[in-house]
Amino acid sequence: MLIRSPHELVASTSGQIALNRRDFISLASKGAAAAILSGAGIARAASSPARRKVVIVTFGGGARDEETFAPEGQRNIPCLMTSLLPRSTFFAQVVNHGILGHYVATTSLATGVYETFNNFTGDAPANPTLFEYFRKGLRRPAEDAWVISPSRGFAHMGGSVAKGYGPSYAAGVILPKQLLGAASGANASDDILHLLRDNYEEPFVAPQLSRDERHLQQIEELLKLSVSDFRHHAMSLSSADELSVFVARRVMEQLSPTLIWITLHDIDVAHSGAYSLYIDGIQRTDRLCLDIWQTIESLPEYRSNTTMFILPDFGRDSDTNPGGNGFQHHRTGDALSRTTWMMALGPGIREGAFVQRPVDSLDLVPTVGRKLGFDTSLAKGSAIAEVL
Amino acid sequence: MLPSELTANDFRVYPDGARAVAVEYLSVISALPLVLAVSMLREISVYDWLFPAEQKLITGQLNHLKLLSAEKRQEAVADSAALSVPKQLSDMDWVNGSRRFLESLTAYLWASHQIDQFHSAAAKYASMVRTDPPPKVDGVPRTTIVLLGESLEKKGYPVFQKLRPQGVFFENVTLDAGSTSEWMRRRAEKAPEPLTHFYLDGSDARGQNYNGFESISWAEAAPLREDLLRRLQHMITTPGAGPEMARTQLASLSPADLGLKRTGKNAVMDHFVVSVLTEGSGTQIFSTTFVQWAARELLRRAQPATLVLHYGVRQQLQPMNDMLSRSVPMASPDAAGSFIDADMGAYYTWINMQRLSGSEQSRFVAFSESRHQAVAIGPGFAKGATMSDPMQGNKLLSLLS
Repeated sequence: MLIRSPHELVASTSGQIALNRRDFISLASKGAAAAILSGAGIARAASSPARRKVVIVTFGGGARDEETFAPEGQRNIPCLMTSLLPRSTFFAQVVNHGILGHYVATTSLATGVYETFNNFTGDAPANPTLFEYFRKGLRRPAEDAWVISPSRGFAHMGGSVAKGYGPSYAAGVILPKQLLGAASGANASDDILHLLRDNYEEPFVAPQLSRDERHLQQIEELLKLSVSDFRHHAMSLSSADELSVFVARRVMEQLSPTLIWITLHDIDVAHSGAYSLYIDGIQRTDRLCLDIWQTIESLPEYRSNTTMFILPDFGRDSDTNPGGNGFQHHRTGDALSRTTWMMALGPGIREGAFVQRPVDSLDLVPTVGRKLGFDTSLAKGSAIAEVL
Repeated sequence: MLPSELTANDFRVYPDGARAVAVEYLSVISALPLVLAVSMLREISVYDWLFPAEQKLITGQLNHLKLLSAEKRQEAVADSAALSVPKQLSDMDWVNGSRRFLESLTAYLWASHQIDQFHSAAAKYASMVRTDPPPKVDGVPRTTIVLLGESLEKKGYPVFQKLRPQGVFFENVTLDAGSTSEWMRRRAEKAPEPLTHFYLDGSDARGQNYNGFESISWAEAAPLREDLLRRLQHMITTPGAGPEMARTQLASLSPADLGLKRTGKNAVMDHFVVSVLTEGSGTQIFSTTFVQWAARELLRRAQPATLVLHYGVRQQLQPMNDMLSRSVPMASPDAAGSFIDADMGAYYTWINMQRLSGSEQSRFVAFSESRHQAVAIGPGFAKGATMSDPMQGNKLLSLLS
């Protein structure tokens, strides 16, 4: 903390944030109303719990209202606005009360407890994850829960060190960039290198360009692709998140897991301070969210029985907070950086509905637990009634 | 150690100016809660290399604390004193390692869910501790000009969209370099004090210097940037190193570590440039980020009378490790992305100006050299207005005075 002058600290932004949120709510409500008027209602009745599946997508890392659902941001998210919002129940205030670092925050979303470990050490969480509750509670095999995450920094979010849980119940974690690093070896071409791009804060967890056998095995046995086919397809992609979505689709096609968590992260290039790259990331993430939904609808195992949740792990700093530098970081803990949104869509979920009440980031785990029929006893938060 | 245990001898390794301030105000500092005392010492420890405006703010704040009644002083610091700080932190050498202490404290406040309480305590303290007004230069209202270089362009992108509601949008302006430099010359003549006027150049051109202006140049900072990237690359390849360690190590570098040994006001500028490159995120790799962050820091710290920014084209995005590596050639320029970055940078610069005392009298112009369009904000410029008639740049600049 540095207190140079009162102007740095007393320039309160709370009024501005409240105004933005009201505008946001007002506009999104209009969209929701339009959807309801067009005849949408509750999506087809939910299937039996045994057949239900859940896909969770973190719209990351970290996006603000201004560049997404606020009026001036909606041009960046045409797929969410026109294709997914009308089919969703939309939560306008999802508040993250925890540490605003991507790994610790994303892991907290997955445990339902605000974890407090060092964001950069990549520790396994102290509390059981959603995947462990799921596998233990429903006696599901390892291949029924997967995490697809952008970098080695997220490698341990599949399972906790909690007593009675841990590796035996953890989700498998796939790190697409690690797969590509292994598939490319030390002679990766420029066509591949751009997919290995890490955000500004994470060059330390960038994939190694070495033919790691474990990752090569994942490509061949899990994704059912030859290493050369995987590599060839990767060359047609333009970002690391596109690679993640490609891998997610292969996992869904090959294994049809019940629970999939996809962590998107291109947006976090914002840390480099380039606004244009941050916006590019949002626009790409918007398109990828629709791709994932279309994948769900295209696969018989998923169609009509899958609930998808899309949410940023948190926001980013306000333009007007003197302690930050606007979109670049998420360091102030101000209201804008903590408050974000969530879309839920799928069978049994009201379409075009709009929820103004605040929801806690921790509410996701108990909600998914109720949805799939397993207990999440150590998780904080409450199941979200509007989507049950 | 607690602040109440401080003695003058604890500041023996501080530079001369810093030591003098710390000793003079020892009774004030030692009465502060740990969190505030360390924050204060972090500033004082680099006092010799601060801008005059910062030095005045620090001594003004210390003087004000000294004059506050015991009751008022207690009220100002009570919330900060209520923050829990573990012994592990208070046992650190926070007199000589204030930066490291504050980094650890920040992590602890987040983990212990005290960060909001901390912000609120800091806001209360700041509101109760009157500081001297920033230096004023008579007859030279604070003015910032942001130039988006000619090669920056993104077809169809509505430039200055966020700024237009604040002032007049000029649709057809001719502003040549001669008019700008003549305007700068007159500004410097009117207020010849050092460290008052600043020029920040984000282009690849070297040697853009203006009399009376302190110049900071992306191109001329190339040796520093390369040195830092080399060090960063070394850290990345060192087993066990992580981003936090890298950040700490970079931030602890001094100009002397990077071969800069100038004195006087040049030392202040060297310290400033090094801080932009070592503490800013992205400032080492993108010229647009370098300019935006340096402008933010200059406004916040130096509170300049004049600030002129010139955005050039940044390199395209590459894999981060490649951008941090000197062994890979620079990527091709990204003119369209740079246009958007600079447009947002102009907006952030205006916001940063608004945080300074007397902002209602300040003037701001942003000009796109490729579009020949400008927005002007300040007294006399109607909010939300548009001027379609052709306007000569020197006439527009004359409206700023």
